Amino acid sequence: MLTRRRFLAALGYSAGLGLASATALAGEARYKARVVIVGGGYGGATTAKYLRLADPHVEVFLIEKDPEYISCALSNEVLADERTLESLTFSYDALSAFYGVKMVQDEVTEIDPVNRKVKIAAGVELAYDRLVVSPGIAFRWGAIEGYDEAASQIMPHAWFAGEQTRLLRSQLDDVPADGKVFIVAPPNPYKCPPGPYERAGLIAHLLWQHNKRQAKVIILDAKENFAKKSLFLRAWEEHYPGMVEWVPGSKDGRVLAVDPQRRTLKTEFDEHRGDVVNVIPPQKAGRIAEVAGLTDGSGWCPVDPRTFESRLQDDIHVIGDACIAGAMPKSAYAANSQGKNCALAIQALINDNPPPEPSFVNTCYSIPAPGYGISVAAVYRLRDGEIVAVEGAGGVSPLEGSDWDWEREMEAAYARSWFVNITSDIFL
Amino acid sequence: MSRLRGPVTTLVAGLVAGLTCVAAQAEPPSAPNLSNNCAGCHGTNGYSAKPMPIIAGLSQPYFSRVLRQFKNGERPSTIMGRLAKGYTDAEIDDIAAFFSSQIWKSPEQELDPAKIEKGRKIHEEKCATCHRDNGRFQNAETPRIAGQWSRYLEFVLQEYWRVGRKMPNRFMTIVVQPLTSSDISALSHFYASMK
Ligand SMILES: Cc1cc2nc3c(=O)[nH]c(=O)nc-3n(C[C@H](O)[C@H](O)[C@H](O)COP(=O)(O)OP(=O)(O)OC[C@H]3O[C@@H](n4cnc5c(N)ncnc54)[C@H](O)[C@@H]3O)c2cc1C
Repeated sequence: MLTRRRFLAALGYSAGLGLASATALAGEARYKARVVIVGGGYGGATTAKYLRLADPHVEVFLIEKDPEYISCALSNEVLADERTLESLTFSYDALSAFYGVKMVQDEVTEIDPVNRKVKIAAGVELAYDRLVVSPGIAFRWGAIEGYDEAASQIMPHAWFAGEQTRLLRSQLDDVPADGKVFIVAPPNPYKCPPGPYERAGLIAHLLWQHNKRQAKVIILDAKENFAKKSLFLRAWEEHYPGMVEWVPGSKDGRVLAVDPQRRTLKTEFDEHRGDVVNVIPPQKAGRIAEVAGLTDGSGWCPVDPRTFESRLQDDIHVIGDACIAGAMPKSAYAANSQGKNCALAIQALINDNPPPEPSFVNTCYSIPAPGYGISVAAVYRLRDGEIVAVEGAGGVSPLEGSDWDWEREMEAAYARSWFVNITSDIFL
Repeated sequence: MSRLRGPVTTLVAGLVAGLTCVAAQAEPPSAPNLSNNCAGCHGTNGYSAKPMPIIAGLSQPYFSRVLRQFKNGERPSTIMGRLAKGYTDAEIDDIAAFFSSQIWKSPEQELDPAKIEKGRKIHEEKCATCHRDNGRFQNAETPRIAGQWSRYLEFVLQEYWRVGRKMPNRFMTIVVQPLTSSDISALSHFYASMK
């Protein structure tokens, strides 16, 4: 990863230039355009690599606030001691060494769409011809009364992988044999629709392994339904009978307030006390998208689905969890697919060609028990200016079949292989 | 002519469509627009990590045929059937052309020498007539299996081995059903070891 000084050197300035660098720097002549990407997650890092693969004459800057990327996908396995956080951590070195992506480790604090510049925390500005914004999600702190950043130190969300995952995992050690773990599941839309339910299974697995089979994992849900529901219900019954309970919004599942000190949750008619409380709060587009005027009243970013160009600001594309992408869910696979289509669209636009017809795929595997995988998949196209799932294709793993156990085992193997493949497709 | 649609052919097709006022149906996505999506599971340009099968460098006729089999349910799968249904036959041919234009590369993998030797004997006795050149040969009916991930080869052989699983190639079923599970493991290691 480049430090700020080396980043300036990468721009063509010798180190120690000092304050003069605070003005926007012109693009190098050997490039025909400069694309700046904000956020090096599943969406942004994919776009960086595929843009450089598509056209080496495009200069690509990737600005990421963290030194390494820690994947949320498969982070639920950490909660079941099936995986380490290290195995989820990726360096940006290959992107710069092999693909010539110019890495900058810093936070983008402002975007100036009129003069086409981004400001990074250090006060340095960087000019762009096109900007890609892939900042992921932000929480609506306070939407559940009492749940703010401080509360998340006691009732972890673990919806960003890293310290929060570790905290939730360590709390699970203190659950008594007949204890209660609550998972508060958010309303739509949110990052990783099957995630809370995969998590419920894997937490139950850990408790089961620790002989705490009288313990309960209770999902208090704002919704009436969720992704792959029948498959999850079956998985929980097969592996941890009676341990996982799902409470929909209509059965008083909607959590209105929390009290972190007492570890209590308030719904409309009831109050619950948990030994561990995992609150996954309501969500919106990442903060920089809001600051830059890329979000609408929904809190998410409307885009032209062909190019992912913002409907609110010119020359800025928004991909991944932050954007509104029709029928596509907020997933790593979706962000990766959008990143590639966005890269080809930007390449066309830079070369004054019409943007190509896109095609998207999503596959979300879940592993509700070790060695037991289920999936949902879809192929997407543009129809009348909307991203829609191709009819007759996709869907969830069939609920029946003579090869049931074996197919679950294969899907679990493929789920883990998917993770290695998609992260290599991005970071290697 | 290559089926890969470059910007030039796209432009020509667009002009022709404009001149003859053909229906407003959008130009289908280009081969890269379609194929890049496969990389999420099968690796960039089809060079996968195990056990997901390597698809870079498979022959075009074989690739097209197998995707059609997934699409119409002739070949069982966990997920490929659901995805293949999302593509027209012409798109499937474009995707096949994209991946067959890559050069096959065999990855390094940890293999058991004893299994390789055992697998070689079974290969020579039962498989070599079709899977010629130690599994390197490929045509519309025969995939290249030399240098494929051993775990994936094992999955497919197990599919043929399982009683009642409706597999597309009857001949394979006849050959594989009498094998033992250790035979299957040995064969997988043997082909995986052939670069
Ligand atoms: C528990 C869990 C399990 C999941 N499992 C799966 C799964 O199995 N399969 C799947 O497909 N998806 C899964 N997901 C969803 C997946 O993680 C997200 O959909 C995906 O990460 C979205 O990619 P993105 O690029 O939009 O955002 P992110 O991956 O969140 O990346 C955003 C990046 O932008 C950076 N950033 C933000 N703002 C700034 C700024 N101002 N300046 C600089 N950098 C900035 C952040 O540091 C971050 O690195 C899971 C999610 C969770 C929480």
